[in-house]
Amino acid sequence: MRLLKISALVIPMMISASCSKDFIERPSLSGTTTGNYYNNASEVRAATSTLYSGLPWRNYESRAQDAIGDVMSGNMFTYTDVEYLNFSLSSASERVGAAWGAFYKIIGYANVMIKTFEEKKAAGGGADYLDPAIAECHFIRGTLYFYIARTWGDAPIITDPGATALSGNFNIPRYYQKDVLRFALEELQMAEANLPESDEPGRLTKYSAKGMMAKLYLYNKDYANAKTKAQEVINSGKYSLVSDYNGMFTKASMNNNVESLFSIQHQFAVDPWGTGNIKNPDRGASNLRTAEADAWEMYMPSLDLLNEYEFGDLRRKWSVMEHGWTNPNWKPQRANQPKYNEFMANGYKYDTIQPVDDGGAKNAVRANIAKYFAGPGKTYGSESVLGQNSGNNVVLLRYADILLIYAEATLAGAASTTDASALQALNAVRARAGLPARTSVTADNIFHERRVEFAFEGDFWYDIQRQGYAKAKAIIEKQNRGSIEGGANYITTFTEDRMYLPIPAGEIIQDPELAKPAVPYYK
Amino acid sequence: QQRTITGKVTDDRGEGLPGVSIVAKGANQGTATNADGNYSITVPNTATSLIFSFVGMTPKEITIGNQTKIDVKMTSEDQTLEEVVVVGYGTSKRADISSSITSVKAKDLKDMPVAGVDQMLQGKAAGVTVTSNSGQPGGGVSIKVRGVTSINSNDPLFVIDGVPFVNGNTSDNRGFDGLGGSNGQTGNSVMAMLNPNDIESIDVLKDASAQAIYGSQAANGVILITTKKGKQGEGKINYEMYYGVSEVANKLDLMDLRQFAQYQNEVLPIIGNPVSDEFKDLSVLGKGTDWQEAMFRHGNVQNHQLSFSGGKDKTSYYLSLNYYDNTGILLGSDFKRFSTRFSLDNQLKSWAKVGVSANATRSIQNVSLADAAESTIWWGAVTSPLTPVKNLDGTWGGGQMIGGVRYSNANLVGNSQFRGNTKTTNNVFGSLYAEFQILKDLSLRNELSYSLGQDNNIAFQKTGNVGGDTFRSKLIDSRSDSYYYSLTNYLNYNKYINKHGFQATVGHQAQSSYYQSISGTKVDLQANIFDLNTGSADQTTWGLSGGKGHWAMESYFARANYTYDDRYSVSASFRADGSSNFGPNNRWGYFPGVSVGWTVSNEKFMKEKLSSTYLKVRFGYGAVGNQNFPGGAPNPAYVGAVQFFSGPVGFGTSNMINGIPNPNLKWESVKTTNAGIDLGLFNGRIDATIDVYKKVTSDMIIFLTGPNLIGVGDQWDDLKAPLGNAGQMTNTGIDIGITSTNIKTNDLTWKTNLVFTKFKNTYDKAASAASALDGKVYYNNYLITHTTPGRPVGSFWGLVTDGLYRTQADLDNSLPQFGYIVDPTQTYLGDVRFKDINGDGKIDANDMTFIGSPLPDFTYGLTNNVNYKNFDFTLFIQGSQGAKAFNFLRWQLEGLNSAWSNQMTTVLDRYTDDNPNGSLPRFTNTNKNNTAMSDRYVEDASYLRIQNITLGYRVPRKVLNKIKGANFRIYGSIQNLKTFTKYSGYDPEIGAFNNSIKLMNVDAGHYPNPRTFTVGANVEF
Amino acid sequence: TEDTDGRPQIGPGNPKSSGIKPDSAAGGTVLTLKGTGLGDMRSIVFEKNNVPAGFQPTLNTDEAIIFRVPEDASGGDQNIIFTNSAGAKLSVPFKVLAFPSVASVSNYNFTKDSEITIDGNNLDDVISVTLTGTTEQATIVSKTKKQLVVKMPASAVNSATLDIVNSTGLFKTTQEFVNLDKALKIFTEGYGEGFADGSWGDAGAISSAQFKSGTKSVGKNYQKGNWHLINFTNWYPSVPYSADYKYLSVWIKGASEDYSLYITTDASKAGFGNYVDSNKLNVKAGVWNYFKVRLADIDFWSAGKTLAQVGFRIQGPDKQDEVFYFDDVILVK
Repeated sequence: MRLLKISALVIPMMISASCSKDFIERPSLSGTTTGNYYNNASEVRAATSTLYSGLPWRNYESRAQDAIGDVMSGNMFTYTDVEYLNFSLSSASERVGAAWGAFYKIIGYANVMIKTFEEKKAAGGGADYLDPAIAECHFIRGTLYFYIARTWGDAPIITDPGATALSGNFNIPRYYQKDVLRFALEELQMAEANLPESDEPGRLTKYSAKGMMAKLYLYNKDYANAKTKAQEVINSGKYSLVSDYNGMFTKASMNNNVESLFSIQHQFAVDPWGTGNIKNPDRGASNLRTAEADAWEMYMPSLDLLNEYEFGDLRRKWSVMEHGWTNPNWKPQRANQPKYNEFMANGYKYDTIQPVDDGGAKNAVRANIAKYFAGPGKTYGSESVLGQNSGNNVVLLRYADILLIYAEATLAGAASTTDASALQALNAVRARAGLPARTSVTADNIFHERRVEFAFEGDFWYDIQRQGYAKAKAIIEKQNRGSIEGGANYITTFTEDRMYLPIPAGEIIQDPELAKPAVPYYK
Repeated sequence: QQRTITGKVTDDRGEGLPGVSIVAKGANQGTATNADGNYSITVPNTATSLIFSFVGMTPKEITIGNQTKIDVKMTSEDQTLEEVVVVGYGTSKRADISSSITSVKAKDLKDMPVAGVDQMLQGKAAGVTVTSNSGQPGGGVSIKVRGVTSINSNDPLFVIDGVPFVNGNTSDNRGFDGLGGSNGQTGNSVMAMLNPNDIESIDVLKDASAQAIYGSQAANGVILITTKKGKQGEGKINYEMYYGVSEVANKLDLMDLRQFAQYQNEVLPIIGNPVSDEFKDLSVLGKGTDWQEAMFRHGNVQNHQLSFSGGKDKTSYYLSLNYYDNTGILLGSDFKRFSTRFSLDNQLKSWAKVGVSANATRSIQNVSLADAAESTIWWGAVTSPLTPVKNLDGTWGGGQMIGGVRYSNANLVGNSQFRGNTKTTNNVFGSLYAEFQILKDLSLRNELSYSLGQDNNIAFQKTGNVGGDTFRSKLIDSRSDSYYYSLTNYLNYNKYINKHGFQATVGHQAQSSYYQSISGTKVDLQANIFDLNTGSADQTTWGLSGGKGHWAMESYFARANYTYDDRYSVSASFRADGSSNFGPNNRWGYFPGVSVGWTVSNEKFMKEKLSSTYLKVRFGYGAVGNQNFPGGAPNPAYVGAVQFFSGPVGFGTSNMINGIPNPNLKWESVKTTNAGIDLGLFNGRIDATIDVYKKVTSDMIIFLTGPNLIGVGDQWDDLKAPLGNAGQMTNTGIDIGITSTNIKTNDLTWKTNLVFTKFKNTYDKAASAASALDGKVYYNNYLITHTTPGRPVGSFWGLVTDGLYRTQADLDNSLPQFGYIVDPTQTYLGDVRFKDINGDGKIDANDMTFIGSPLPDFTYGLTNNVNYKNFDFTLFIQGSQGAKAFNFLRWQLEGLNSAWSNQMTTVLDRYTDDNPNGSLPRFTNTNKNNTAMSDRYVEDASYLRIQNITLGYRVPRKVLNKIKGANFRIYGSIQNLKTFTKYSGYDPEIGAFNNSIKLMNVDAGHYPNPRTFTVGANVEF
Repeated sequence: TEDTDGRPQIGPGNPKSSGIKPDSAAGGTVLTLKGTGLGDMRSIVFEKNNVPAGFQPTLNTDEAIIFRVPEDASGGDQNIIFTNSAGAKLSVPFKVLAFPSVASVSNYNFTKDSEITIDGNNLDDVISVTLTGTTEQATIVSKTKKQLVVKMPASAVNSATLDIVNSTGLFKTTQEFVNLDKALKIFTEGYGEGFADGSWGDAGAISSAQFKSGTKSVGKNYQKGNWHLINFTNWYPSVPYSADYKYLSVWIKGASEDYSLYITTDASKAGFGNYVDSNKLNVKAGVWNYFKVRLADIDFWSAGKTLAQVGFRIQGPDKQDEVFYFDDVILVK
């Protein structure tokens, strides 16, 4: 009897005690840590691949890019982001925080990758695959700070998020815009030095860095360097203008084509959120909405932009749907809508006379955006779309930009030029658009060309901004930002503080230094 | 060698009690009273006493002696001070308790037709704050024991018959984001899986000296649930049922069609749009569609419980079956539960006892999207009354084109036919134990507890057409499995020598849990059959993802109690916990506790002077820890992890560094100091328990996030901020529980019970001077709570309104608001004016400040029970005072920035040139400041609610005897009859969004608690 | 109370009218019917040709119903038939106003007996088509609601709009029609008197396969890269200056893409072969484009000069040869 009692007590204790050392050791079930991973090219490149993806970029590329780059520039009309149309946005405005959050999130990714890969190198990892990956991170960081400098002017710079977070000191100041731009340039220079001459399509090369540097130099009015870097891209012979301009934005098969220098990478997939391109529904005409594709035309071409196209400019029909625009391949159909189905049976027609419920289109500006709208869905004859998702990349830097940068840098602030190579560059862009060549070129010519070439790509606001306040104000006040039925809308209250976005209110609450004057980043 | 004993058993009214179980102790003889309460039992001469037992009555043991006739009077189990309470790893007489524990008995819980155990506690236990997060059937509940303890989780530890539920009180209900929109309120009550009818008692361990024995898991308090077991005596059959009808208790005053037309006629010209000719003559317009009527309906609830219990010789048993069905008041929401419970106890030897218990539950919940944009309530509020539910041709309304303007496509009635979200949960849990009496005073107990869980969450959409929207069929099927086990061994030593009492416990525990999940998505389901196999063959439309995790903890614990002469008691406990959540250097945490008690009334001077008074003074101190990580934290958090993606990212196969490791992460610490008194007056006619406490939480485990510009965050796709130990939080409070027996005669009894809970929460220290806790909703930039040191957690943060700009002079004197100038598109007449809090001559982010706390000053519950002959009546009132709420729905409904969305009728009193004294600002779609986060949307959410009224009738014994019944009672009950509040939304009881303490009392289209009318019956054979 | 789905709880009654306002209107106009027992209407039909009118059930009460005249309602006096869910009917007299309207015409040039097709609305009951300001009527060849075909009369006017009268009233077209018989013909069915082809590069070639009016036009291949022009030359006798000519009118069928063509003459200030911005015509691809240009707005004919050359010059084309066709090249007084 007593023996049994003692056994009952001892046995469980023995069982428990024997495993105590290992029992509470529970490593991650995937077993993968930065300590035992990132030991070869494919592992490292799979990490930097994330920097190119819609996963971190989506809060910028969807809507914020449009509101800031195009609505504010007068290229887009919208009922939703009215405060960007009217310059009545505030630090609580939605896209301000979205863009800021996206940019600094991606910088965080790049920061931790640079740190991790440098540690790997120090521990003996192969520089041959780590250095190019680090260079990719530098490009991303440089590009993002270039965006930040243009969007907010003075801005904070963070390179070690872990140390900052662990320190608990969030009193991070704003630095002068010129220092942010300098930081961006230095990052791009590091990228240029270590990126490869060529890589798989879509991945960054030296020429991506050179191209972005050219853009930054131009922004800084450093015309000589802008011209030099653009020239290097042109002379590489690796890039050219694709003939299917609209396809660049609507065909996944044209992702990373010969014109692209840097694009946000998308695939047609449902998961995770951000893999697909979610620009589609914000641009698509309502009469293209189907069971497969959303289309709610949040953004439309502005009347002012429609007035900007030269007669015969093919970019108009490649970028804009308006009365008479057709796509015979698209045959959208809807349940229980026989008149609509009959109207669309032989191919999509953009018709402003047909009743809206029967397939007509009749919005505020009688036009819709064709760029980045992939179509009504695979079932209806277009590229695959799944709700909001398409597989199209979002192009941030392309060869046409390099050519126009080269022309403008050659002009170098002069009234006009007949420089043969500048004309050749400009006229290559115009030739694709079906327009006659210019025999001389002025700054206004290039400005016009940039507006129509990059419409709806989120770039034109920065072109206006870099003209300086006086000229920007003149440009904006001349624009008609209204609608057909609502009448013309001219801005009369554009003030100098509107040249840059306000810092998001939520950020200032958490970092009051942001509300104080900027300080130098470089001594 | 036998003799016969006879007698009569009566209740406290002198009436004979049929069916009383009578057992001769030490002999295998038993009988029961007859219909008149008389009995006759033949026992051997060796029998020394008789045991009388009856359900709901206190068992009695009577020494036989030489008597041949023994009459017995049985009383109800309601003598608080004589009760036995459940403490960790054992039981104890309440009189011996020196720490702070609150008990609730089963009879206090009956007639409350709620799905979950946690809801039963509302207003019933001092120091326990219970708030419904959602009125959805099966919806989530926030429970706080003595305030807000931690940033990450404030769920107390639930221990059911010794089985801890360590994964918290909330389970997810996701999937709506895959169908479009956001997930909204996803939290559900874990306790929904437990059948409340099986509960015997609930004990709440409130302070650290009581909690310390549970160590780290007890940081937020411990709720001990004891389920019913069989008792010795004749077997019993119980059947309980109730049926109820629910309705929405309160509706918003939204514009009808005529008012909407007037509104449109006034605001459309402002934005340059033509007015619809249909609206020119208001007199011919009707009410239009009442979307509130469309989205709310009468719900119903029914519950059926059948149980069998009894005991014979050395074995007792309990078996119950339960079916619960609740249709919600909001379209698309309902909840069903099937559960069964079994327990068996057996005295193997005089020194050995074994037992087993098992619970099995299956619940099926259909969720209506709530607390989000795109939710049913949100759309029901904003959809225009012009939009018909159905068009003339029978198709679903929505997307109407009127006068050149297209109205919203949304049609919540139609959508509910095409979209849904169903969650099926299966749980099995229970325990096995063996208890050995090694010596007279020494016992060993071995316990194995287990829990197996399985969830299946299906979000689906059918192919179809609603309004202008065409739906594509889609299925998101998510499944998860989990298991948990706990192996506990401990020795108990009890010794009584004369006036000295000594009790000790020493033990060891090992715990482990594991979970895994997988989710698949497909579109274009053939014939709308919701099976992944019917989906499209196009692989690019497929989604597949999954995850898994595990956790383990090892613990040692000890406790010692000493009492002297029923006057003095002291208790000490200690626990050491080692958790896999922490790195090698900080794996173990150590948690001591001590409490002392002094029964003053047992002193001689008290006995002589105030013999009718009972007084006891208690003091306790204890430390517990917290290992809970915020949601989304890497596991484990002390090494840098690599995260992989379920689908293509970037160039296809990608990964990312999941976070910034912190090897120095350690336990969160909670220290509590408690003092209390137990007071009885007039021979127990009035009982009071009063506790005051201070609870300090430090080294809180949080993501060390800051502004977005740092580049780290806590969302699924963020570079995770490092987990760190930072900050300090303090709760101070007072708990009061008073029971008064106002009248007690043979025919009439009236008792009143009052519980009062008051606590003050302060966030003392943050990670740094500039950092704070922030809560955001709807989109990332709309920050609504910002807790700075010195403020309560979850403080609302925004601008302070200062009336409107009503005159030109106002405009001339105006300060620039977020950079705006005076201009019709920016700051203008009728716009909101804000205060320059920091006095710098402009309004910007630096003028945002504390504008209210979501935590109440106090909560209370008042219960009155009246028994008059065979009738019983209960009135239960509960309330909350002083809490503020952020009415995000009103942000939408008084936003005055969209001409096509419906609004509250209050907008008809907005500022216009003709109405310069309007109470609301002007209509504008360009001035964003009018809808900035401000005290404009922060309201007083205090309320007093008539939570329950019940009238019951017990069938007389004469009738019962005819049907061989032992007990038969019928009753009617009203739940949430009336709520008195100034809050303008549907329900001032809002709770925490997904149980986050950073988003308490945020009403984003909150599912309100329904009003329910119930009838029920209890029958015992 | 019983649960409903939010629809107005108004049942069918015994419908009676107390008046409809307005009692006559054109398609698209909002009408309000008042009365009693008007609840739960299910259909509204305009009696003539049984044209249904859609409406929102939310705009229907027991005392009123609000709806619009269908765009395709037939004109004239008729009843509007209301039917409720119980089958009860109500007839209310109403007059649909249906003025004729013209959206597009097949040609802007006419000669005696040439046919012009007019597309518009409410053309099925047209009574007369008259040259504005004259008594000369066109002969109606055929008419439907959406299309009217007329044969033009002989006339002495240089140009005129058309007065179209139907049962509702008169409509004057905004389109102005040019009398070819009164115009100076450079090319119509062949070269005008004294005119010949003097094109640079490929010669102009008369085509019977492509034409806008009659059966012929003149086509010209513009060679890739050569900046050529089609030239209508009249070296002898040439055209003496006349201030009476106000317009140059021409139909041009576009090439494979949008191009600009520049009008050039030897009587212009700039001289023949030059590009003047005000002389630019934007020719859309693949369709016949109509141009009627005021001579005062372009550099065409300096006072006192004789006109010997009229050309349409291109810059380019840069990618490939392009072919344009020209018809009814005329000077209009």
